[in-house]
Amino acid sequence: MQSTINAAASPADALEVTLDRYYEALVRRLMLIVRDPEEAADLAQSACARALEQRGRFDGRDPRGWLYTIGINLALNELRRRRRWLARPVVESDATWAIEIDPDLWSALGELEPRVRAALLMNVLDGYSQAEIATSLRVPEGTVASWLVRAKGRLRDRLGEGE
Amino acid sequence: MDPFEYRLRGRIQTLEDAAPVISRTRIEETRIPRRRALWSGAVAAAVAVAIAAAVFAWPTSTEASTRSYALDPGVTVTVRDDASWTGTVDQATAETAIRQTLEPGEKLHLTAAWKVAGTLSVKGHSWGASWVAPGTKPLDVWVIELAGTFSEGRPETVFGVVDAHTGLGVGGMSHVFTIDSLSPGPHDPTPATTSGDLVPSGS
Repeated sequence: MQSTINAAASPADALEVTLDRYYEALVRRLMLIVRDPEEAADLAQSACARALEQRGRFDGRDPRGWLYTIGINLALNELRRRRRWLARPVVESDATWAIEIDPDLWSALGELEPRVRAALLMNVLDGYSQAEIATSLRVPEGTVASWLVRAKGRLRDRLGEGE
Repeated sequence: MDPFEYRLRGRIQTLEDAAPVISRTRIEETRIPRRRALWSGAVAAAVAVAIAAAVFAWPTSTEASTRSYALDPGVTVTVRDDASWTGTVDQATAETAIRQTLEPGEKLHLTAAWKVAGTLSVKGHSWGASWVAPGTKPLDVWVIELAGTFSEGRPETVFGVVDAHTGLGVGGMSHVFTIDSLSPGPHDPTPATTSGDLVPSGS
């Protein structure tokens, strides 16, 4: 599923528009992946900075997807790096907002690995195919397929919608 | 899309739409894409050379001096060597801590380590704020330099900080970009002896 841009705009212009248009949405998406609003905001800002740095590589197609891919990969890399050096437990931020909305879903999503959670969101919310997700997350397509089957099965059970 | 997936999409979308967004203004203010630069190979190599040179040329006198290392663009770790001696590096403890952080398939070796007892200053909020809050805190740590291959197969050099008392990692300097200063600085910076590759604990 691709967002569209003004065909007359240059890729760089389109990127500027994308940053303005999708910044907050990116923060929210990263919030579901890293589960902390401060960190999500930091990562979104880093993703914007990275996107600006790499504007020359942007081809003008699917700017939202391009920005999201940068942000999600930054988030997954940072989670991996943080695990490496952080033997101390991370105190998850106050999730009152999520608990008020859908506590079961928030809890169930939290049980998934971050990269699986990211793949699930790209598939379920954005409609990306397994192949597109695999390209974005730089993993084999079969791995994504396995993640999605397991994640959906687990959510189905946890949310009380099992057969 | 089956009915479950359809409902799931709606529920997740509702959750995502309700997620709080913390306002950030720096991007809008500066549009300068330099807030966080991840560890590039060139920078890593340059810093590794600088650190190595400093390690081998470290003065033995108590004359105060300051050395600064640019870890990321806009990020400088400043170390001072005018503090009292605190002992030698316990490399085995550092290596144990490192092994505990490795993931399957990863392989690292310790290239340098040195003891730091002093104060770590952190300015502003950072990704690392979860474990190193903005402000100043006393630390007794080992700073370790590692090179090797991470799980993605990418060669990388990183710096880590390990608590000298607990052996727990307290943050990776190469990506905790708002560390402003680390002072007083390294005491007895010690090139690590080659002990072979480090692999995950239990493997």
